[in-house]
Amino acid sequence: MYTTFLGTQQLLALDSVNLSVEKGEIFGFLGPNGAGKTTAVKIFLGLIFPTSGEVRILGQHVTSPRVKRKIGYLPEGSYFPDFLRGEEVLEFYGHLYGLRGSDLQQRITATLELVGLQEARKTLVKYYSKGMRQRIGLAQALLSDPDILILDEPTTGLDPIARREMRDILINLKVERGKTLFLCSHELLEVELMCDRVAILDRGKIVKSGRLDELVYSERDVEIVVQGVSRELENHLRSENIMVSEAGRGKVRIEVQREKGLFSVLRTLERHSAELISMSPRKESLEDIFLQAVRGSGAKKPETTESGATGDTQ
Amino acid sequence: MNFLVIAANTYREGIRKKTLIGFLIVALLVIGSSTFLTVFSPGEELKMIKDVCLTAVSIFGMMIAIFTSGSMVPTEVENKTIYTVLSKPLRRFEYLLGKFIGIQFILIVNLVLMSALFLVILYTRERIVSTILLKSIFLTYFELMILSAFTFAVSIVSSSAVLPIICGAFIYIVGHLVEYLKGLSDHAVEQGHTMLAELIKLLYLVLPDLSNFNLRNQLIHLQPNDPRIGITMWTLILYALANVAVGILITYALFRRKEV
Repeated sequence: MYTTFLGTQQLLALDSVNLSVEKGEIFGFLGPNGAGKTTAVKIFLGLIFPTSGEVRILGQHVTSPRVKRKIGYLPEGSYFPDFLRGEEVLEFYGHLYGLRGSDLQQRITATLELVGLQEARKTLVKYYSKGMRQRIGLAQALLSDPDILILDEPTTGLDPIARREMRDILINLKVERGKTLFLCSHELLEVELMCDRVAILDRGKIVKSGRLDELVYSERDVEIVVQGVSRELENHLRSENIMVSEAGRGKVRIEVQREKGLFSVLRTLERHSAELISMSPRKESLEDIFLQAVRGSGAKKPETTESGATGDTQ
Repeated sequence: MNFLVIAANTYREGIRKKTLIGFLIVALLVIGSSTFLTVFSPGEELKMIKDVCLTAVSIFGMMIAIFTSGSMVPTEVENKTIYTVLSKPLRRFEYLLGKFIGIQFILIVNLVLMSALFLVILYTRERIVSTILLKSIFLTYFELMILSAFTFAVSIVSSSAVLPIICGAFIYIVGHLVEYLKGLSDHAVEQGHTMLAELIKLLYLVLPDLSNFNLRNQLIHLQPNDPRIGITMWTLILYALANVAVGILITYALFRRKEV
């Protein structure tokens, strides 16, 4: 709950947000602009404090420096002291982790190589492009070899090549190094390509969450593609409220809900000698799911109720 | 020891800031040109040089103090650099202490550079290094330290550097007039303005007295009434340190749960 300086107005920024992130997964935290994603991330990092609820990372309170040692954070926009050179930025953040001397220098070199900034290490950050700033941001988040990475809009504003490179780096961090990634974004395609699980936040509330493969593959709907369907059969299926559409080259696509007589439809098709081409669970895009969740949530902002966030990362 | 990392970075930021470099260059130009100003007061060249230089050190020192102390934290909040810093294994008190120490490094370096030029100019004229002058510069640092501590405290609650800089200038000006405030309060009572009298009295009680840190009369006019009789240099240093401690505690109380 945000309260204005004079206490005249209150805004419920997050309401009963409960989520847990498993070790070694990429977790996507989605939501439209103003949904409360960055507020939630700030709470996870101890930058702001919830009026109720708590955040535990690796079983400990997030305000503990011991926990912060294991977290790497890339903020949205990646702002860094622009009077420093690339390597000086990393030296500064490295010192805050207690890294010194040759150990620090080796890590800086390795991290700059990983993010592809080795050649720009002596350039002042103020001369960096947006993509380079994102990379130096990722480098400072990775410098201490943290177990958990919290990334706020890591690919926003990047060109397609830089976006692809950033995505490859992040997937490799999970696959090759076993890192846990908490990805806060509204770039749905990126999330769909990278994440294992997602939660969709809208107006401060989680309106949908789950494994991405379970969400995009509908449990209920099956898509059947058949050939040799007569006009009479098509009309019969439509009269049963079954979706039938042209699939090209004489094929017909039939969408049917499992619990609403899938086998009956199959028997009808067999009776009419229709040729079965394929049968698969119907896949929705993350965009469809996102839009349905956000439009259908109807989440409201109560003015005076208690707010809070509960998060857990293992 | 993370506060030292923050202090070193704050110092590095300060000495690379164009505004601060500009203040220093102008201050050095004013001090350097003081010898040419003596043509306006024949027979009192030394007094003129001392007066101009002391004023320049005090005014530009004040400007550097309030600008650095008032802008460091708001700039980091505005640039969002503070997110990446506070998300590291660093306690908020360490962050504040580091910032404050870094600001002191900046002040000391600027003060040393301005004073060095002042001393060189005086030495070429008098062929001696005045201990009272060294004492005056030393006390000027403690005066600026108080100013910096309170400006820093104001900067914590401000989203831009404008408010703390204005407040810093107010503290500097009124801090030099604190002695007059008591008389002004009595005068207001006599005039029947009790509310105004209470307000002035509150300012008198709350604001630090900076006038004692100024040895101008003793240095320029050779009058031994600066600081006032009974006040030693050690008293002034303790007074400054107590004020700074209060300033830092207020800063921490404001910043401890601040939402950044």
